[in-house]
This record gives sequence, C-alpha cells and structure tokens, in this order.
Amino acid sequence: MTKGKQILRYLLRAVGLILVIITINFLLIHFMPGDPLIHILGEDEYYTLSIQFPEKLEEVKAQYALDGSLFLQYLRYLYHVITLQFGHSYLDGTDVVSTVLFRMKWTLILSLTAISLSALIGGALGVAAGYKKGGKLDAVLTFLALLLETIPSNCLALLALILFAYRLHWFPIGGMVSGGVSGVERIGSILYHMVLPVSVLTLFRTSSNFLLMKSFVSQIRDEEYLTVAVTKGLPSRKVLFRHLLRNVFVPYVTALCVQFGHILSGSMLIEVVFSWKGMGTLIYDGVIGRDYPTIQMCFLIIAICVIFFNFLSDILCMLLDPRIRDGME
Amino acid sequence: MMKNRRKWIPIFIGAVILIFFLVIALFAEQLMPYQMNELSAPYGKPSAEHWLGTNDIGQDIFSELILGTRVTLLTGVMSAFFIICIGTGFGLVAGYYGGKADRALSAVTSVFMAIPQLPFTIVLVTFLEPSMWNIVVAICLTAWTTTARIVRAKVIEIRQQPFVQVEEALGQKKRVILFHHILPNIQDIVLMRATLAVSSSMLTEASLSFLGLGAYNQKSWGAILFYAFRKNGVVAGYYWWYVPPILCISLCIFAFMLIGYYGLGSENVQQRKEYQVDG
Repeated sequence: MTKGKQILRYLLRAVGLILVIITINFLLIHFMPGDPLIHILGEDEYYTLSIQFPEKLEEVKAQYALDGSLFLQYLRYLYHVITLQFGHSYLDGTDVVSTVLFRMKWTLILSLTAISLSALIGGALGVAAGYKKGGKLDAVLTFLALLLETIPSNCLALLALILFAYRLHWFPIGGMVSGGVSGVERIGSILYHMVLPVSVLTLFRTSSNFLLMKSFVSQIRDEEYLTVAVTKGLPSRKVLFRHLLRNVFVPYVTALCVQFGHILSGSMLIEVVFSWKGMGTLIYDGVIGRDYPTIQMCFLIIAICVIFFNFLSDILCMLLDPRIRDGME
Repeated sequence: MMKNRRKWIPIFIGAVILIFFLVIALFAEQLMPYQMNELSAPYGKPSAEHWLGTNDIGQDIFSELILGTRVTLLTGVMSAFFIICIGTGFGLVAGYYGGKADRALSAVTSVFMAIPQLPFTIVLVTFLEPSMWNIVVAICLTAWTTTARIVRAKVIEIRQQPFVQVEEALGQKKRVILFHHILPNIQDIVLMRATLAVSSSMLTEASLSFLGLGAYNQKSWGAILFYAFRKNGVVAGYYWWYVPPILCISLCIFAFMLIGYYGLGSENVQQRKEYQVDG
C-alpha cells in the first residue's frame, strides 16, 4: 500500500468517526425522554408556549427543523453542525459558538502549558528510571506515580487549593487574572493565577508520562542490539542517545500526540476547582443549569479534537518510523 | 516460598481494606448514628454527638459517609461487572471466531474507543437524568473497550496453542472450546481487569458526582465532596467535611489497585507491559 492511500484510509476513518459522534449527539436529543423542544427552549418557556400559544410552538418546531421525517431532521441537523449553528445558551441567551470559542482559549493556555511541561519532565524521568530498571530512582518514582493514580485529580486539586491558597496565601484562590491590569502586568497576573492549576495538572500527566516512557525504555533496554552496543564498549551516553532514545522517540511522540487530543477535556475537573473559566467550567455550569445546547457543542468539539489528534498520531507514526515508512513503499 | 509470600502481602492489605468497606456498606443502616432525615443545626463543628459535624442542611456527615460507602461501592462494582461481561464477550468472540465477526466487533470497539470517555459520560448522564443506574450505564458504554482488546489479543494467542488445535482437529464444538478451554485460561486477566475496572469506575463516579451529576437521593462520597465544595465548606475551611470523603475514595481505590497491579498483575511480566501501554 502506498503512503497516500494509507493516509486517505486514516482520513476516511476519522471522518467516519466524526459522523458517528454527530449521529450519537442527534440521537441523544431525539430519544431522550420528553419532547426535544423542551431541551431546546428550556422547560419554563416550553410549558408557557404550549399552554398559551400552541401555534407558536409549531412555528418554533419548524424553525428548529424538528418537523418532517427523522431522516430529514438528521440531514438538517448535519447542516446545522457543519455551518456551526448551535443556537443560544439558555442560561444567558448568548450565542453558544462564540462562548465556547472564547472559553477554549483559556483552556488551551492551561493545558498546553501542562502538557508540554509534563512531556519533558515525565519523559526525562522515565528514561532515567527505565535505563536503570529496578534501581532506587525507579522504585521511588514508580511508587509515587502509582500512588498518584489512586487520588482523584479533583481531590488533590482541592487539597492544594486549601493548603496553598487559603492557608498559606501563596497563590490566588481562583480565577484567571486580577482586575484592572493591562500589558505586561496582565500577563504576569495570568501566570500567577496559573501556577496552582498547572502544577496539579502537570503532576498527574507527568506521572502517566513517566510510566509510559519507563515501559518503552525498559522494553528496548532488553533488546539484543542494545546489549551488543554496551558490550562492545560504547560509552553509555552514546548508547543512550544513539540507540535507545532514537527508538523510544517514535512511540513516545505518537503517545503524546494522542494526549493532545485531550487538551480541551483533560483539565475539566481542575478548572472547576480553581474556577478557571475554560471549557471545563462551561460544561460544569451547563450541567448544573441543564444548558443542553452548550453541553452538546462542547462535547462535539472535544470529540472532534480527540479524533483529529488520533488521526495525526497515526500519520506521525507512519512518517517517523522508518520501518513502517519504508515497508510500505 | 519467600517470593510467594511477598506476592500475597499487597493482596492481603488490599483485601483487608476492602472487607472493611464492604462491611460498612452492608450494615450501613445499623452503623449510622443518625438517619438522613434527622436534622440538627447546619454547619456544625465535630463534637461528641456529631463526630464529623453536620452539613449545610444539618445532616450528620459521619452517617452520610457511611451511607455513601454503599452507593460508591455499588456503582463501582456494578459498572465493573457489566464492563467485564461486555468486554470479555466481545474479546472472546472476536478473538476466537476471527474473520467477519472479528472485523465487525473490532470496528465497533474502535468507534467506542475514539469517544472521549468522561465528556461522553457527562453528556449521557445529563440527558438521561442522574440516577445510579444511569451512571452505571453511562460508565459502561465507553469503558469496556480496553478489556475487549486485551482479551481478544490473549484469545488469539491461546487459539494457536496445541491443546486448542487438538480439540479443533477432534471436531469439538466451538462453543465448548470457547467456554471450557479458552475462558479458564484467561481468568487471570479477566480478574485483574475486573479489579482495575472497579477502581476506574469509582474514579469516574467520583468525578461525575463532583460535577453535581450524582443521584439526588443517594449521596456517594463524590457527592459529599460536591456539596462541601458548592456550599462553601471548602472556603470556610471545614476540613471535617471535605477530607473524609477524599480519604475514603483514595483508600478504596488504593485497595483495588494493590490487588490489581501488585497482586494479580505481577504474575506475568508480559501482561503488565500491556496494561501500562494501554493505560
């Protein structure tokens, strides 16, 4: 199979998956208990309309393309999704799309920083521990990483918030930026607000990256060519950089790429705890206020993001790994 | 012998913690000092009457915690049960029958794998109205995929082995081979996946109820945390309200992890690699 054909196959799969997600979203609205209009208009307005102006309700139904056969409705829904018409939030009546895009920016600031930091730290620690497997560093770090997995991230975030913000007053108790500042000062203030959420996020991601890198390194460490490189007297730095890291690089990068798919959703709980006004708090507020249009669009964007990065990681894996790359020519 | 004993230590510790929580969950009504409808002054500090104080509407937090054990454990165990049933079933059929069945089931698996888990669960529970059963359904729908893939890979490996090939050559029924010869050989993996599934379901449940999606009348540990956070218990520094649920969740997950990772998982190094890569 040629490279182009393979990429096309991956692309088709990604598009197919996105269609499946959109379909699930559509089905959710239509097979939910109750009239879908309740969820579009909100309960209060729906009942007011249905008692006082039943004909107006029919109009709204036509406006939201809820009349006609299910298939026709599905096509109209697809059209709405593709043209980015998600309606208005019923919490404050604003356009859902602009709100989500605005919130996305803040989430990206948070999670891009955390992902980059943890990729570097976790990778480095993983190499160090995996290279000397069973050593002291390995034992301590693995224990810590597994311990971290037992604590829900929101709990640790809560404890950090209480200790460092409420008790010690080192950091602000929440929010993203102090009011009334601009320019460099504003950036400084954002950074200052970021410290706690980013640290907690980084801690969790570092631990999973560490376990991942460690298992990659220790697998390759047992390969024969590495034993040969060591026994022929190659300095250990050369073994590490020339033989080991080059082979670890590809799986690690593709794994990181898959992680990037979760940039929008991964920090959800942490955002809620630190009242960081990103996608996570948007979903949280949406859930509490039963704001279906907002939740739907958030879910769709998150899912598309995940699928896109999975697609990208497949392609990266193909382009980076010479064994797969050349095998296909 | 020495090695064997060391292997059992984590399982033993994990089991002790689990039995402790299990007893609490089973005898919750008898152990609760107060019923949920017995109200006292709200926001009470810990005292001789209320060991962990009272919450925003005056319920005893210690009793709440005991009742929450049942909700949390039940959600975790029920979800894990369905996850394992679906995952093992898919894996067995896909791995053993191969061909069209395999391709169809693997396609379904990869679709469900691409759905972001927590956001999907949140959307589903929001639409279905929060209740314990809906939470279980929502968790199961996306969480079975890893188990299915691992079981499928293992079944394919076992299918190549002589004892299965001999049975096939003798004309034994496929159903008999599947359930009497292959299933017993993957029970270690299934058991280990089950303990990990309980702990991950409990984590998901804790996140869901922390977002306010817990069942209204059945408060889990995560839900207690949600109320402590939402009703300003955290801001006011009422540590007796938010620390106990955090400790309980972590301790319980720790117990399952001890059994899953250190206990059952250490038997076979090859297996552990798989789990780490799959996360």
